[in-house]
Amino acid sequence: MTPRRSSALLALPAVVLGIVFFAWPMVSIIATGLSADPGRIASILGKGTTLSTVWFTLWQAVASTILTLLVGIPAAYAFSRFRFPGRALARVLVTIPFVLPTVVVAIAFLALIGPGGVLGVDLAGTVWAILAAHVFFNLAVVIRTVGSLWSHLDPRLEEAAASLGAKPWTVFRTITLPLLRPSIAAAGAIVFLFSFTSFGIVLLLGAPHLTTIEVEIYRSAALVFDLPAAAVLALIQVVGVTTGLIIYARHQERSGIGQHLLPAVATAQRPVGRQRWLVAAAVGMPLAISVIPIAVIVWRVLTAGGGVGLGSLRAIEAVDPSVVNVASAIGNSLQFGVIACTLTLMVALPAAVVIASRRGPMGRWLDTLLMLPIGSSAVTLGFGFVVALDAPVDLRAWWGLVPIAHTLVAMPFVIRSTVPVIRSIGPRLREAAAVLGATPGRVWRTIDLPMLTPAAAGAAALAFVISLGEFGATLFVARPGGKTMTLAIFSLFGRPGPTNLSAAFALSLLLIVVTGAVVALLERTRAPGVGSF
Amino acid sequence: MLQVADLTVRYGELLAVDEVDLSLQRDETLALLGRSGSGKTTVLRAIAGLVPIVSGTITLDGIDLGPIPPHQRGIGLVFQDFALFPHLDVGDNVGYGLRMQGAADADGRVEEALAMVGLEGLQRRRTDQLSGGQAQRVALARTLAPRPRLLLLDEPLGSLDPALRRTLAEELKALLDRTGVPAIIVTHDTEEAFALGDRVTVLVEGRAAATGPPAQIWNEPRTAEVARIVGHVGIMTATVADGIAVVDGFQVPISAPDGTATHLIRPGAATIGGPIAATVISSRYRGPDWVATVALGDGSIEVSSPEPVSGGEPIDIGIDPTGVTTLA
Repeated sequence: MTPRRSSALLALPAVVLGIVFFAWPMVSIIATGLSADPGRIASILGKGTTLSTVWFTLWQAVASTILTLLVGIPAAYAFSRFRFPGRALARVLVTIPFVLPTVVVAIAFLALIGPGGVLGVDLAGTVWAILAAHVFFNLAVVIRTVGSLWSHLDPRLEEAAASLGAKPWTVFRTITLPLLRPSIAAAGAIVFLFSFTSFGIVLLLGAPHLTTIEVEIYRSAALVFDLPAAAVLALIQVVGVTTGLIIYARHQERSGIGQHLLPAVATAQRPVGRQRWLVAAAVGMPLAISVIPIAVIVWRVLTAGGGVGLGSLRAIEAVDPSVVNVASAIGNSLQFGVIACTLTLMVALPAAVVIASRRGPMGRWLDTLLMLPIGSSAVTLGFGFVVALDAPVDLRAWWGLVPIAHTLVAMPFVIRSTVPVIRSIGPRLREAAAVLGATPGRVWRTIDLPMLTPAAAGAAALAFVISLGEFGATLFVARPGGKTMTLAIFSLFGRPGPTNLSAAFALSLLLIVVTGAVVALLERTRAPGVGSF
Repeated sequence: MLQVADLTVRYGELLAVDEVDLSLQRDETLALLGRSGSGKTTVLRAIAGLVPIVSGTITLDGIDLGPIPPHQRGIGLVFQDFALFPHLDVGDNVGYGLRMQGAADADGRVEEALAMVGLEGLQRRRTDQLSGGQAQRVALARTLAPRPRLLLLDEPLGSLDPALRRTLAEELKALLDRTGVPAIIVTHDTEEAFALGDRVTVLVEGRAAATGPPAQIWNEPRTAEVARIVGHVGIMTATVADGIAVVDGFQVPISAPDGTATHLIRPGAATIGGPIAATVISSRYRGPDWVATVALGDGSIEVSSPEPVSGGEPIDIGIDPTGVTTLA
């Protein structure tokens, strides 16, 4: 067994990083917000636009959550209870949107239902485009979180209810749904958080009256330079996010407790008769939602030059570097990705080891602290860097802030996906190795390491993808020469000319291909745990 | 009241139940005995309507159950590991079936059902705070509360520790007698099948290999496989001529028809002291006596010994001719 003392020290880098680059900026924002003149605060809060922004942020987040659950829960059922041809591929396809950069998601929906869109209706600037994009982006959260618990539920509980006289719908209502409730609540809370703090999607698909707090923080701070207004909005944001996180954490803890969970393989069966149509519909719907917007981007790239081919990828080279330096953006993205990925592994993995081995208050405290950035919104984080990091050393112009911001954004995801794997190793295996004569070092080398490696590889891939796609924080902290691919896509899209548009689509496709490949890799190294996503 | 005819169930390629016939009388308990994978649980699930059947019919009180979904069959099923609903307390678990029926005075009947299994006043207890024996009783109460026409029990004592099993088996027997509900009990434990079943059906690889009262199954187990499943050891081939079998060069008188066949020498039929000079393989202490396993013919038999004997020792044994049965 690892001695307790050295074990706690492993979390030190993560704690330091969290305090300096997360807690301190957040505290600075709160201080800025609270130190503003009370009259000013009142006028910001009382402004009609502020109220309507908060209201819209709230209701679109609730609507997005409900819609995502409605489409995602039947799909979770089909994926977890049935075996059907192409299940693995379908699972990868519905997961890809979740790791796509929000800018790419927005552009895909503009190409689909924007001006001159493939479907022939222009819904840009309406709430429908925003809701559709949020469902697209978040489906995987519901399918994975709910599906992973569902696939481990003991089907005999439902059979017992049926043999006691419950009709199929009654079985679902009185047995299945209550047993799934923790995972549905946890998934719902996450979807709510992501929709509540939605930035890239709302920035590109929204309209002046359809704007989230997140977008308004950005506008106030970066475009209007009204720091007190931005800080007050950020405060409201933090309150909303904290509420969501508390709900999430409470249900996350309870999920699966007291239930007799089975290995997933034992519960999946082939659909028969009417079930086939049910499964086809439940999987087909999210599959269509996931695939069509991506297909539209592929279509746009292939047909950009008039004919069909990959010629339009050349548009990337044709962009005037003095307007948007695409080549340097690709280089920067890769460089930041590698740095963020390395940093995440060095910081988050040891912290995950500590969290996994501590079930007491210390483990929970650490878990909560390192989970906070998940909902604390990237824009607020970037804004916090700008507000806080001017003293004692002015770090605001330092290029390293970008990969650090990416690391903070990636850390909660990496910890969430590795902790279950580390816990699954369990003391029994180590004890078995020890009584067979392995020294502590060899136990670590022969048991822990081989079992951790796939999880670490998955975590690295996840961190890399998150870094590549990060938009909100990067928009704040990137220096003029240090733009990334997502920023380049954003700039290109805002400029006139078919070359710029083609280049934006080409860059988007590039990101889709990379993230798609990484999801496929993640799928293979997926932790067999319950409740992870 | 229950008739199962030619029941066949497949799981993909696997033939789980192969043309099984069963019948059950009112007030009767039938034990389905078999090894794991013999299809005994599948028979129960087919009767409850939880697995689709390939062919055959199941009729209850003259009504074909085929088209009736599980929730309308009125058949109670106690699952292995009990399948208590973890999000409901004991009272709501027991009352679940009653609420499905829309029964009047559900609370009173829950109380009654809990009293029947000796768990008065446990309504508000959470299911994860029950001991194994209590969970088993709650599962029984939950199944019996809606007054099913037929009770199916899948390894009802299987997940309990041995000391508890015997007590609960007796309780279960008394409960079944008291309620008079016809029951089918699936088990892999011969002792349990004999203790609980008025009749026993032995399943081998999805087929009903033998059916009869416990004593008949034990004394006349028809096939070697059935004999092994109920726990017999002394199974061997021998050629009989004029009531005399030749085993290891010794002439043993037995009451069996002429010819070469497999024979069962029942426990107790072989005793120490007799014309056959055999060799001990091993011995173990059973309680008051030792049991010596003795090599004989192409098999072995068990002999009670008042003293310990060790492997390799010679031993003289005799065989009571009436304790031998010919197997198919």
